[in-house]
Amino acid sequence: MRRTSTIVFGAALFLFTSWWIVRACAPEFEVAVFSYKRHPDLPRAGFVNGNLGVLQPTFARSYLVIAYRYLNGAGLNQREREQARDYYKDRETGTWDHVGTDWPAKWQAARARITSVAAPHQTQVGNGQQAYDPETHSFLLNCAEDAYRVALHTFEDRRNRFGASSRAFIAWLTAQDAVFANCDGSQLTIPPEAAAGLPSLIRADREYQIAAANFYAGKYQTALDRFERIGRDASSPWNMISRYVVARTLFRMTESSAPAGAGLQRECMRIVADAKLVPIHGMTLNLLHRAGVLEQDSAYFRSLAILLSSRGQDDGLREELWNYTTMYDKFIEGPDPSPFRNADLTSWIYNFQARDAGAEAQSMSRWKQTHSTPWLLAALTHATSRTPERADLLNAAAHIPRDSPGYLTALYHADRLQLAAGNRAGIRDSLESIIGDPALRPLPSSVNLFRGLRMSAAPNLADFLRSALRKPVLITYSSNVGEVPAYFADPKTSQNSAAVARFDRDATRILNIRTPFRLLKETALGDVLPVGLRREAVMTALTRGLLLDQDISGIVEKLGAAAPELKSRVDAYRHEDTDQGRRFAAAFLILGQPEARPFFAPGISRHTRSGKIDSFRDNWWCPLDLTELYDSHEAAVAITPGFLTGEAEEAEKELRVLKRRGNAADFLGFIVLDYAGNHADDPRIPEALHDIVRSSRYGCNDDNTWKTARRAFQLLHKRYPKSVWAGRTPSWTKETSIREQMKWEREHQQ
Amino acid sequence: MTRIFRLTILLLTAASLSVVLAEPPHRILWSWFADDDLRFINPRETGVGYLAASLHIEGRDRVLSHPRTSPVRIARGTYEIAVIHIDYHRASFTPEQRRLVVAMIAEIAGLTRAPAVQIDFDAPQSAYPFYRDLLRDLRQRLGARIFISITALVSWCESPHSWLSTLQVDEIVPMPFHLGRVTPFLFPGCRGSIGVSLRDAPVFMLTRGQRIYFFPGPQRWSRQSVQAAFEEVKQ
Repeated sequence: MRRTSTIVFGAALFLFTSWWIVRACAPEFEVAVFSYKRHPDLPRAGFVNGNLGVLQPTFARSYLVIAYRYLNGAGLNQREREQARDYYKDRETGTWDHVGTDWPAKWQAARARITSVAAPHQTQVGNGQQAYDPETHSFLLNCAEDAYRVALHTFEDRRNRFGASSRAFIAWLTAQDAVFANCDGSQLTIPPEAAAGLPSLIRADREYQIAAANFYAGKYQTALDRFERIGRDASSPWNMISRYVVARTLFRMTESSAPAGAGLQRECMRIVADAKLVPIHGMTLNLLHRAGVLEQDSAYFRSLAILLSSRGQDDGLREELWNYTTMYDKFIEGPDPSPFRNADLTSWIYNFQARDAGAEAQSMSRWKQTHSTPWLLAALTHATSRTPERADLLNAAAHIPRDSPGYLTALYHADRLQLAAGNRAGIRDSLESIIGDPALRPLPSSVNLFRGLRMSAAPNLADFLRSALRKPVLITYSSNVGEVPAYFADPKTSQNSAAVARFDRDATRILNIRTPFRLLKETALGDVLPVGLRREAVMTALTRGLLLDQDISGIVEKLGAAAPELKSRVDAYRHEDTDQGRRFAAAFLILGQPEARPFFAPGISRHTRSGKIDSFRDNWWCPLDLTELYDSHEAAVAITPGFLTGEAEEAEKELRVLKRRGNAADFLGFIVLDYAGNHADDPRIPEALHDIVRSSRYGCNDDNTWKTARRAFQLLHKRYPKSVWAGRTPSWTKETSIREQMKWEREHQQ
Repeated sequence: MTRIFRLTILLLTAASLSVVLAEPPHRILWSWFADDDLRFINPRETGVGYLAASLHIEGRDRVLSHPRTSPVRIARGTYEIAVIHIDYHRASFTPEQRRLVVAMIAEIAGLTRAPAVQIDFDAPQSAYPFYRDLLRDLRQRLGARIFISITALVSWCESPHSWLSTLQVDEIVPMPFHLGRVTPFLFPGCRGSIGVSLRDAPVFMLTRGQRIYFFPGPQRWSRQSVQAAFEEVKQ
């Protein structure tokens, strides 16, 4: 039984943590994360202490449980915070916070500082905690880390209370050494009864230590008798926890096949029925859960939710979180939605996370019934400018005090609703103030969310660009769905720095879809953007201008200044004196720059240097329906800045033109072939034709691209058969794998 | 006289049932990660080598221990070998790590009271001195009464002047898993024993008197698989 539960727990641990470590075999691309979606800002000490930041519906549910506790006033006491940290250690995310949660190690370190009594020898193979079982030739976890946590806290208390060299403290420590000497199963060491002259607290401790020593030594009946006696002793500080340990001893007796199963259940039910024992209700229910008594029990699920919403969970919180989130995951995969209605916490998490109309209506309804902060935040999260209760929600949000854990979430959504209603100027100062607030420095994800709103409140282009720039909270790989901070070895190996300001998706959506070429050109010619983005802005405006048949001469000049390596092609553009010549020169320029495309990409926009072919075909552009780059949710929550509202018609008209232009090879191929028709002597033509064939291979292509490539290829070989470019273009293809194409290119260049 | 003879026979029989052999028998079943029940084997003919712990050497001073958690049940009187697997990651193989590994192996020997320990390890060439010193220290720590066995890569056995010749061990068990038929090893110390995987049998060359270690692969041992393994060897 015990082994089974260990295996089940281990399997559950693997299942629920393995998604952090599963890594794809597909190519990995670096991405920038601007606001964490799966977890709060790191380290999570602030969150665990109640500094929640802007809550995201996409957070893992354990975070929403903690948030709910703070929002409903229960919060977490010191022991519950420890339990929360230990829970994240279980989830193998403990290292993210750089806080020590290795209780055995902490105990040993504290113990080693007391040199007046030599620290006992501890087995190394079982880390002092695992006992060797000669029957099965295997090791069993005998002293769980919680034992060391409790011992450490008692150690600190007794040392502070009596003094490190006091007789009382030394007596306590010696007895505790004896308790832990039983952990590895190699010896039976029971501390003696306490001397009469010792303080009553130490004597009470000793009673508990003797019972615990018997427990770890496998003398369960003796342990049971002693724990029961302490449980009846109202004067003992170990009185309440002993009631739980009685149940725990019965559980171990059950595991070791002793006839204690019925007794275990009876004892647990007795504890749960006693209102004075609330702090041990959770751990007692967890024990029943481990004993398999409460599997799949929706009443137990409800009990857990109620416990997790209540104060005084103390040392039970860790297991409650485990069992609750595990059961939540099971229930949410099932057909029956009723478990999500049977407790306020569960209902809140469900409706806070869901994105459908039912969740919006339920959140609103529950807020109207309860007027509680959790439900106000749920209702605000769902609300839009069309929500009838918008004014009431805004009013309620305005009354959330600044020191409330829900303040930032309420403020964020209130500002979002104000913006969506067109009140941009009114909230600009408020946003500036919150973004610059030093208290938000530990919450960069929240700051970036507020920056997103500030961007949409921008009165002009320059202001928009300044507030659109954000520094990522994490540079990682696209497969890192859990936003694990050190996903692949050393983050310093990344080629992209998190210190560089970039555009998030909301900014690129506005630039790509809502901004007309005229303003993109202004963006390219201005100096607001940092150097890296400025070059991308120039190339984007240049490409879009060519596609839209606009005047791009100023942009080419800017490109010449920003990219000296392009001087010859820029000069060639300058010397053209016809529209056709300029279009060809611009196309020739773009053909040499595979990073060229008529839109901005968010975060890390491209993984290969300018001028180089990307191995994964991120070269030039595909047929363009730019609206398809963004999902419907992004469209629903997007707020266009006021200075662009008058530009909508022009921007949409341009989008329609872009949509008709097709991919790079076809569009540029048309310009080159057209120009080549009456400029046969232009020495740039062979190279341009080669570039067309190349762009059809390494760029996006469609059903007709091969025709463009074939025309370019045939013209190159017919008209310029002895040119170096004909030699470098031995074939054109309809479609081959990108790897084969790269191989072909490499071999050919050699 | 007859009574004395009978008594002697009785005593010898009792001794054979309760006293474990000084050296491992010629057939050893390895029990690695599976939950095995091997109480059905004949303890006079077959021994059991069970993985007792895996030690992981890392960095300059770390040795992490992962003791066995899956049970293996063995009949009383069976010859037992506590196997310790050692692996490493970015390890410096320092004297401190050697001290820790030796202490842990000695602890396992003490806890299990097995008459033999077997060290299963892979080693880069740079770590040969580390293992040589480790096995020397282990011999000193355990004394001559504990039989010390090691597993070996086939490549270590392919030279008459193998580095293995410097090791203070009682047995070397090459493991030609998946390597097909092999000729007798050039290093004589590798000829006394051999480790075979059930999935490979019988693609290896066996010699008379060789001690054979049977690796069951990922599955558990059963009466049938043990019998099948022994049959394969007979053939």
